[in-house]
Amino acid sequence: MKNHVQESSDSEILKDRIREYALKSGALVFGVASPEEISKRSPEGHSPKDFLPNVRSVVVIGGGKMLAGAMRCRDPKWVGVIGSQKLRQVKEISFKLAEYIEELGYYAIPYASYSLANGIWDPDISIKLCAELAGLGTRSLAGGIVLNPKYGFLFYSIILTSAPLKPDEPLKESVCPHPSCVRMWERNHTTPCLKACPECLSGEIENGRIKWMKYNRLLCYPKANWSRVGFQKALLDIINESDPEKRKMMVLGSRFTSLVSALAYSIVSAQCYRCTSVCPVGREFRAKR
Amino acid sequence: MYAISPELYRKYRDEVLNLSNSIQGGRKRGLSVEEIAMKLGLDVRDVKEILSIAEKDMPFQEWEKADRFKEKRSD
Ligand code: SF4
Ligand code: SF4
Repeated sequence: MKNHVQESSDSEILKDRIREYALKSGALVFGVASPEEISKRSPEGHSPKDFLPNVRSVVVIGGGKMLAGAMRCRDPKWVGVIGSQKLRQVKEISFKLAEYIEELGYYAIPYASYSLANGIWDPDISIKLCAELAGLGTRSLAGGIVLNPKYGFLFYSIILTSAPLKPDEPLKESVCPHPSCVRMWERNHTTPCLKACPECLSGEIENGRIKWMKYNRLLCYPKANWSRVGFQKALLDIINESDPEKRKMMVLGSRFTSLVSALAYSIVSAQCYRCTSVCPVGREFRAKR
Repeated sequence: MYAISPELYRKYRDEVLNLSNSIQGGRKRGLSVEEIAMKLGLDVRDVKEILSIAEKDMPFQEWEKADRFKEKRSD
């Protein structure tokens, strides 16, 4: 029987191998969260063990750093589509990584927003919570997105696994607000993200920390107007229109055509990225010649 | 196809939205569908329906307004 020291060094080696594979596959950051810690902070039925009974670790990867060019693009439609492509890339890495973990002999299952199949935004497991517990970042004033201290805004994905990996520690310091945002707050009582989107975002900074924040996802969602929700909304308007001539204009018009094209070609614009493009965290990666 | 009664929807729409994570704030997390159902004494299926409809239940003009909002980005 292996002793404790042997077991923990095996676990370190295993974690190193998985990390190395994740980074080689395109992830920018890697961490491990404890399923027990996730459970403590989650509603009943939303814990890793509810989906994989013998789960021992939750691997978290982050990546899909937005192209610097996209953040400066004059046409916001491009940004939205590039963003959804980036999210897809991170999900693909998580699928590859799950395959790799299974090759090493452990169960692994990537979580890729399966909750959308329920038709509502009620995540099975909170990816933000996992990313925080894995020490990859902290929540921000910009819609509570988890900001990584090095890269700023990233997409995250998780893999539940039976592999015994040592969990990482959450960050000791909050990434948000950035010191320049604190200075801006002291001068003008606003921050770059709050100023960029006063409709969806509100909050306050006190003593250099977030005092409170509010994110109205209901208002953020329509900004992603290339989405299935946009299609549903337009369809309802069309059905309710009693004038056949006007209905024709609506069905054949550019708005509905763009929504139908988005469905046909799986184009999703999940965000407008205005709040994240002005955030100073990770700005050095968005500065090019 | 199952559809909840419009009366039930109207009665609980705001409460369900406020309890959910549609509007997020601070460290306090929104409630899950099951938790909302328990709190309001409703069926889980009905809460799911209310939430699904309420999240999109705003005038289509909001979507059109979004175009103008996004255009401002390139100012
Ligand atoms: S993504 Fe756009 S609409 Fe949503 S909070 Fe950020 S700036 Fe506002
Ligand atoms: S702009 Fe400043 S306050 Fe807003 S999310 Fe970024 S660091 Fe936080």
